[in-house]
Amino acid sequence: MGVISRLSRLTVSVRLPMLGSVTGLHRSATRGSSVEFAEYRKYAPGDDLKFLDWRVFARTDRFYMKEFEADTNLRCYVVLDTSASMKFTSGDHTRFDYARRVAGTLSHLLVHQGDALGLVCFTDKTLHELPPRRTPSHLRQVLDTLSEAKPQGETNLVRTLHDLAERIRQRSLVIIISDLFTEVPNLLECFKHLRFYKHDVAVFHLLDRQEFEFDFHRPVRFVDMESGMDLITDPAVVRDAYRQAVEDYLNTLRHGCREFDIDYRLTYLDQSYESVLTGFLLQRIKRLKGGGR
Amino acid sequence: MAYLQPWMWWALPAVLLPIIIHLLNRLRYKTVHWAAMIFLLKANRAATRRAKIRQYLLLACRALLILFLIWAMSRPLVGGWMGAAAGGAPETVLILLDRSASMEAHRADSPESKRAHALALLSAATKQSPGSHFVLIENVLRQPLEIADASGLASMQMAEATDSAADLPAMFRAALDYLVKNKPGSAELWVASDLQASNWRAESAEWQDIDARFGGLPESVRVRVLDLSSPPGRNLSVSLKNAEVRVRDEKSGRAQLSLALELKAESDRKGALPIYVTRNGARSEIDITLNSNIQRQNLKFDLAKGETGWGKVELPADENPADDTAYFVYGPPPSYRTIIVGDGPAMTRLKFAAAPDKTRSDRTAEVIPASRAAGIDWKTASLIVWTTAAPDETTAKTLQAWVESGGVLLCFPPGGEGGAGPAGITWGAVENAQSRAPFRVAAWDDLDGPLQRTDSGASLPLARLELLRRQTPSAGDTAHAYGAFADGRPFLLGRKTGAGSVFALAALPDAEWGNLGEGLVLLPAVQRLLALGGQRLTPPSMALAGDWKPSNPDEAWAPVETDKRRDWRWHAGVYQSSGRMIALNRPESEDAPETLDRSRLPDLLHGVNLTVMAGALELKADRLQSEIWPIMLVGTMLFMCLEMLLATSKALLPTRPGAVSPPVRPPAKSQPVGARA
Repeated sequence: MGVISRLSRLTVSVRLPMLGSVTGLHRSATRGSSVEFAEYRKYAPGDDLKFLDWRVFARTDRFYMKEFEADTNLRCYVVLDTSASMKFTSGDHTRFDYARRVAGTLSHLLVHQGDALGLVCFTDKTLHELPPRRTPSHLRQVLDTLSEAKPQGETNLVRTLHDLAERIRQRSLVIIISDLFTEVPNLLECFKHLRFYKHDVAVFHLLDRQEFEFDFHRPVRFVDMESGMDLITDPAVVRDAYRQAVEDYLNTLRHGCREFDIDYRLTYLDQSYESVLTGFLLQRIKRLKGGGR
Repeated sequence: MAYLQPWMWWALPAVLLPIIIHLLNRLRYKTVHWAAMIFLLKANRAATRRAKIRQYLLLACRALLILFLIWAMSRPLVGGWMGAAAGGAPETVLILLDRSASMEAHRADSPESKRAHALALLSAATKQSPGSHFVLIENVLRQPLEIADASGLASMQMAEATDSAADLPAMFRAALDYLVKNKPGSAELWVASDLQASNWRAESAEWQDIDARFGGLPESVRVRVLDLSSPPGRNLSVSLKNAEVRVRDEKSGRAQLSLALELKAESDRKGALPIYVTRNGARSEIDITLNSNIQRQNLKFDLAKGETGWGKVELPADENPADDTAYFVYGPPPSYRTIIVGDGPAMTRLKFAAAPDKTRSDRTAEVIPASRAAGIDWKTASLIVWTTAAPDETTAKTLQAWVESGGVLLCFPPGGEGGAGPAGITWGAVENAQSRAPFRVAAWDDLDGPLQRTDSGASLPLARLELLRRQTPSAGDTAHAYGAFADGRPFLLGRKTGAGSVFALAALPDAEWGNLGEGLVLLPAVQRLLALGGQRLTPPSMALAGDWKPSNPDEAWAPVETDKRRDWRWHAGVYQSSGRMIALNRPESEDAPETLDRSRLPDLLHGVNLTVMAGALELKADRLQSEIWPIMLVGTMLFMCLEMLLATSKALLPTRPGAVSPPVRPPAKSQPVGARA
């Protein structure tokens, strides 16, 4: 809980205006009644005279309405990959453990700042889906679901994200936590789909350092954690080609995310998840302030 | 290739170590459950083909590295002679050494003869086959000689210089006889020769037989020819064509020694030339002038009455000292006595044919009637001419014994109805030629016998003989017809009888019988038969070194020149035994500079595994046996470098596409998360 208490000083912010149901911490896509002035507009019949600026009328003999920013709450979906490949580890904890910590911490922060939180756990099909709610009891339900989830089966991230994009009605923050081991063009199509519905998309790409460095020395029989297919090879022979393939994949993914304004975060499992989340939250706050209201 | 440490090859299986280690490594894989198979499959597809080639090259480099290391440690020996061949040493090596006179030639810049050079090369080569059994066959005796210590080949008596000729086909036959008799497992023939054409006799049909015999051997035999031929130099040779003593003055007995010399130069050489003549140990110098490459030169020396002696003619030292000397012996000319038995006008002609020069006391002829035949002095007669019917039984036996002891009997037709003649001759009836159609001699042997060509090569004018009468002889199946009429009947028959010979001629030298009496055929024929019969009384004074053998094997023949070590079996020189002397000279064929083109050797031995080592004269003996382990070490280092290059180079790894952005690198573990997306 020490990590959560330290992170509680920060808020989970969004980079885009949201359409919430109640007043909250986040900028709304509509005008509201906050204290922050937004703009003037000409009076139209039927407008509430409460917001007519009489001083302007006195100076200009014209009717102008004063409009203020609206603050609303956030709907956030945490999309967690629970396929068998998430069991991979070369250290003390698995990729799935890491993902659960990130997901759980974010869930706690979101609920405690009054935002609605939903959870989607998927493999090649959706295993668990909790709709967005902002009650403490819902948080417990989310945390229970995370603790009970077990990585298994094959992944189908692309179909899951396309389904999700079609199902979410309101603008939301979609946080994807996965190893993203799928073809990059298909993946970018999903991101494009989500962005089309004006969702704020953040991706935690979890990689083990071994998966990048491929630091094996003797012939190894590699068994696919999802399909069970195996391959015996001499790492010395394929190492360079492997690294090249990883670099190509990451470069393509990074450029695609930049193009579609996806908050992409490449995360190695030996990094502290607290520092990863701190960086994630701070950068979003910084960007929000830099963009101005 | 020979090895000083051949047992190192037992380590040869170590060459397989890299491959075994590679296979073991492949078998000793560990299993890893892997998530990022998407990248691994891509990498495996891209890298496998070129990486496998690289892997195989690496394995080959490592295996060759070990191979060269073992090779170097086995300390291989190579050279131009043995180094050309791979494989093990043969069980038996037969060395065919040509030590004829021509092999004593040397280069202008080196005193080492071809024979000595060949021996040095062969000695060095034998060291490369330490396990082989060596057998020497040289050109004189041609008897296989087992060599206990091959390194001492050069010091063997049977490898010394000779003045003989070499008969290479005969040497090959001797080698084949040895191989057939001893049946060695594997064998090689090492032939050291200067490829002198007269020694190899490439046109001889013997080579076909030799070739066939090689093909019939159970094991393939490799033949290595050490080609010691050299281009023509400035060598000059001298040979003695004839040494004749003629009595010039019958009263005083003064005589003259006539030496007919032949000088042969390998290349154009003209001008003054000193010749050194030694007679009975006294040396004198005579200057002559060379005008052509082959020059006949006659030297004449006055002799005292009855003078005998020996001598030699020498040339100044040149490229071949073995052909610079010709030896001779001389003495009073032998007396040839002819007994002509018969009567009639033909006797005069026959007497003239037997002793044409009345002033010479060494050619005498006597005509006696048949009734006095029993009183012939058989011991002094060289030739007996019989022109009458067969003698009585006693005389016939004596005559037969005389012929068998070496005498020559020439029979002429007795006339009449014919019948039995002397010494087994049978005469037919006398035949008279029809008018204008005399009997003519249509064929005769001009290579050998009484009717052979003259020394100048001219044929005897037998075609000009016109015989009006003939009485043809017969002498059994063993007789040889030296001349025949057009109808195939014999003109001249000859038959060997014991050590002597019997001849029978079909016409008398009488005008009634034709023109035989003109002498153009009769005189040379009778003179040749006279000389043949004279050999019974005068043993030969000149012979060929290597060919001559004493008539009595127990006789001890010693060289006249005691300052030189000589052996009559193969050295030229003058030898004496019991007051008799003989001059042995090298065969004239040894002076012929023509060599066999080495490209013809495969034709002579086309079914044989043949290796010809050209330019052997230029090869140093110590170069034959050189260790080449440093080369193997260099090879080892080369493969080490190649292996290192292959192991570190990216040349055979999958090519990287051009980077579109800086490569993604994971942050250090301690690095705090920074801006990324």
